Amino acid sequence: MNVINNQSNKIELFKYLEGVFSDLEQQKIALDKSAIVAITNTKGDITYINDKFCEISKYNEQELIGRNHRIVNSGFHPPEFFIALWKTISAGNIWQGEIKNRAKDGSYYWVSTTIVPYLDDKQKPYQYVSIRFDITKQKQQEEDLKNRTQQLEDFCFIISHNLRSPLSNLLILTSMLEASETFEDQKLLISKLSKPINTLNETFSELVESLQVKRDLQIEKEELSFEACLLDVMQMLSLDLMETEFELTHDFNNTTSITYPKKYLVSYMHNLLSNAFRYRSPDRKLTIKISSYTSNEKTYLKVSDNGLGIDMKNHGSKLFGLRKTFHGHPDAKGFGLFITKTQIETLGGKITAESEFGKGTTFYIQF
Amino acid sequence: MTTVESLYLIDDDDTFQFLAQRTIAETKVVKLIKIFSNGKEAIDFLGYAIDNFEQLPEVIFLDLSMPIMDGWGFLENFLLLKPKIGKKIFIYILSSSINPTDIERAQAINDVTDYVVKPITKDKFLALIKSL
Repeated sequence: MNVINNQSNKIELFKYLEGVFSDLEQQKIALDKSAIVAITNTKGDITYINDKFCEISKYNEQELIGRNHRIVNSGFHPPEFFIALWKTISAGNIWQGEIKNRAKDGSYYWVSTTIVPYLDDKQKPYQYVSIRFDITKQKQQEEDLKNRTQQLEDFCFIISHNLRSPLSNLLILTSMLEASETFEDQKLLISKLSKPINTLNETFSELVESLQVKRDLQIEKEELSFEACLLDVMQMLSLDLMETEFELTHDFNNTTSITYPKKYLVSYMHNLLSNAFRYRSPDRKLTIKISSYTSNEKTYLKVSDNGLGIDMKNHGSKLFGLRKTFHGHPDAKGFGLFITKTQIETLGGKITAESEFGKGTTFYIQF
Repeated sequence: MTTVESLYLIDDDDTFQFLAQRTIAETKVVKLIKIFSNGKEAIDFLGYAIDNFEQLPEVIFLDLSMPIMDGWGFLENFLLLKPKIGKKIFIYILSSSINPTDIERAQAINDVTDYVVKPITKDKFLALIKSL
């Protein structure tokens, strides 16, 4: 009797366990299909990864097993970030957060991460299971939105500032005109009107031009050769600029062409080259170097000159502002770079500059 | 009414220079107005006038956005000169920028008496000078 009972108990238990295993198996499949999973030992060395982990990190299983999880560290987070993470999980607590990682090919990805410590019977962690979800796209959108808001805010201040200066001059001038009693004096005041009015008019045209690109987004992109574009631009540059002696070298061998709206590429090159000519140093022959290259799957154009340069410490943040000039140069109007920046950013790129006062300037356009 | 012996106006906009000079003259409370087109011109002059009490201003009207050396650059250099200047100088920032970042930054500098947003009418000028 006892034996039979024992036997049927075992069968029951076996059936029960079989059910549990099957459930676990199903849950693992569900998890592997949806999440990026890794298991590490207490030192952070990887002991298990699923296919999704390989897919996003672009490493294969052999390259990851036994390696420390730091292999995907992007360097984006400060050391304190990971110290706090380790403190949490080594105390047996669950850690949750967003991490930027780096894949084998150098590209970055963001993951919403939960790390669960598995505890032994003394409540000490013996391994860590991390479950992540790819949030790269959301992060990108968040970033874009932030940039866009920043851009709009800057734009608002720029408009208010640049329209306000001439406008406030006009306000005072007209009130003076109203109070003025002699014809001579009125004539003098009237002669002062044209300058702020012209400034207003120019500022307005520039703003319209820089906004135009936002409507132009559907403009056709075409395969453009950097060299052909440069030749076009050289022909467009006004003759008086070109009268100076200069040496222009270019190297487009790394990346010969780009798919981009022609009008804008020409405009960027034109503005950067005109700037190089306009702000050349009187002490030395102007040399300009243009090159293109690809990094992180993005195309860059680099334009450097040996001109006057800008004091980046004092002016760096305002370099791309509207109507900013730095040299007191007579024909500087200071809107070329503002428009260039707006156009590049609207088309999803970035422009940055490095410069040293008295040495020269280098611009980088990331398309 | 307080009279001001000497006032420096630092602003690159020549229309504003004309208007400010005329408005200040109309108030009849300022004896001498010196005009500089950027921060560097003014700093250079201050450096040269440092031992000459008469040449030093009591009031400086300072624009922010200028070529070569802007208002912030001027303030930075002014602070370096200040220990050697034996005169109390009131600095007013007169700017058309309404960017809160600019205003906060100016307010954080002890030597800036006030931040005034352009346009500056005759009444505003008078009020400024009276408040000295």
